[in-house]
Amino acid sequence: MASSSSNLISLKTSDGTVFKVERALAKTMKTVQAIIEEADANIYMIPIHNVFSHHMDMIIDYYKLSVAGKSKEFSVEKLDNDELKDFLLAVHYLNMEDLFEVLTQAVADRLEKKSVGYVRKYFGIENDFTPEEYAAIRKKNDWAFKGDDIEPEEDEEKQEE
Amino acid sequence: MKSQKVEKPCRRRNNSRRKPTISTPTVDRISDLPDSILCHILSFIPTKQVVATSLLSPRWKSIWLSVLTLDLEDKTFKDFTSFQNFTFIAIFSRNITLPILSFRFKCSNNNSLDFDFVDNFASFVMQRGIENLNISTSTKLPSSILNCKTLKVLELENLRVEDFSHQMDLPLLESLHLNEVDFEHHEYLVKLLSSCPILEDLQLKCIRIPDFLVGKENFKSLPSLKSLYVEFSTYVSWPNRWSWLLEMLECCSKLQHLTIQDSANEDNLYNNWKEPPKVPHCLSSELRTYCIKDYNYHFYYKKIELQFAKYILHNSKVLHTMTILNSSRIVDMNARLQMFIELSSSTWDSSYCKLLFVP
Repeated sequence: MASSSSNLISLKTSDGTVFKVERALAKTMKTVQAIIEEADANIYMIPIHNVFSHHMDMIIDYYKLSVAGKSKEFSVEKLDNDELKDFLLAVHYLNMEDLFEVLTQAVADRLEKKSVGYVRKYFGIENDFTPEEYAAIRKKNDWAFKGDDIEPEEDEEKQEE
Repeated sequence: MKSQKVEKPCRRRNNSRRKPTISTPTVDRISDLPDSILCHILSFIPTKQVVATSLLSPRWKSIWLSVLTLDLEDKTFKDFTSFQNFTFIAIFSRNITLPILSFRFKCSNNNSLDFDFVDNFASFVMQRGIENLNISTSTKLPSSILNCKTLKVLELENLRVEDFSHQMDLPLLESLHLNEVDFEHHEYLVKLLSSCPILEDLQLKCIRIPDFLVGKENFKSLPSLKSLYVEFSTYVSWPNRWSWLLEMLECCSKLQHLTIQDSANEDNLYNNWKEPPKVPHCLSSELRTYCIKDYNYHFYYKKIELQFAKYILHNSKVLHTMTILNSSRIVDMNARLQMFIELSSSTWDSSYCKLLFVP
């Protein structure tokens, strides 16, 4: 264990900002924790790739709320789809279990009840099926769409995005 | 000299300047995530939609088969046959070595669903390492459901527990919620509760038993139970329910949270409140919260419920909150005031307890 006298750990985000966080918060980041434990001497500063300062702001918000027993008040509603994806990837990189659960649930909430077409657009997934391949998989899984009124690719209400 | 545009690294919005023509598509970073993460996201979504992801791209063709949860509801299908077909294929297409951690099945179509169909997939599902099960149908309860070494959370609605000579063994069960479940005999309920040694959270809402029995020999101990919610049904006549409840409390020595909802409309003037000879152990040393749900002050036959609440106040040394919870939006302030006066004028054993009216 590093014999640091300070209870604060310095984390440097991808955009160069340094955050001094409590050891307890750093402990919730398994990736960071592993780095701390591997180091023999005191670590001066831990760089966290793929994590930007606005991610750290939200992580700190979540931490403060969960310490106060109010983690249910944490919301990512104000984030647009891209921002939520980015945040999820950052938290995944840091390996933070609880917050990761919250964010995967948030992504799932946004996808629920949406068509295949919407999901493809949301994730930016390229439909690289050949027409034959697509027809084959559509036929193979026809049992899943049988009896539906609309094609799985379409939204219930045609919306202009 | 060319000045370099310093791009703000923080916000990576691709959408605003994306050209509608050729150029490279938005980077599909989400597909870069390992399958396990994609499956985790999909585990929160109903299975019907999850299977549809097989159409997204070649990468996604088989991801749905690795999602460890199944969530099936007949309402989301156009007809019953499609639903039945879907259920069968979705369950049995999966690799048999993959666990099913969570299974939710809801069928409101009483006529078409037959017991054998439910029994078949239940036997299969219960052996796949399941931890969380939620079933809502109006068939007989398959025997495999009450005999499972991995189950932690069980929610059953509308099912009937009848002809049950099979083994009941739920060693890891922590939470059991029964809603409008029929028990052919009271002993089935007792047997069920005895088969969950580490049960902590129990909800019995509107259960129906033709032969409710009261008496110490009819109950077994629930040593780990911390939270109990009982709702007495409007439609079931059960005159000695308060005595039954006290017997239950005798068995729950570690109970901390109790919620009662008495929706019964019957006249129990003929049943006088009888205080038990000894205060149940959980009341005197463990109970922290007591909640009365949807109490209707105006019905004269509700007096026993009020007396029960006073009994709790009088005997609970560590009670810190008594809540009067009203689930409807209409609040009768006068009734609430009466209730407040009645309860606060009785004797309270706890040195610190608050009376809370919600909303």
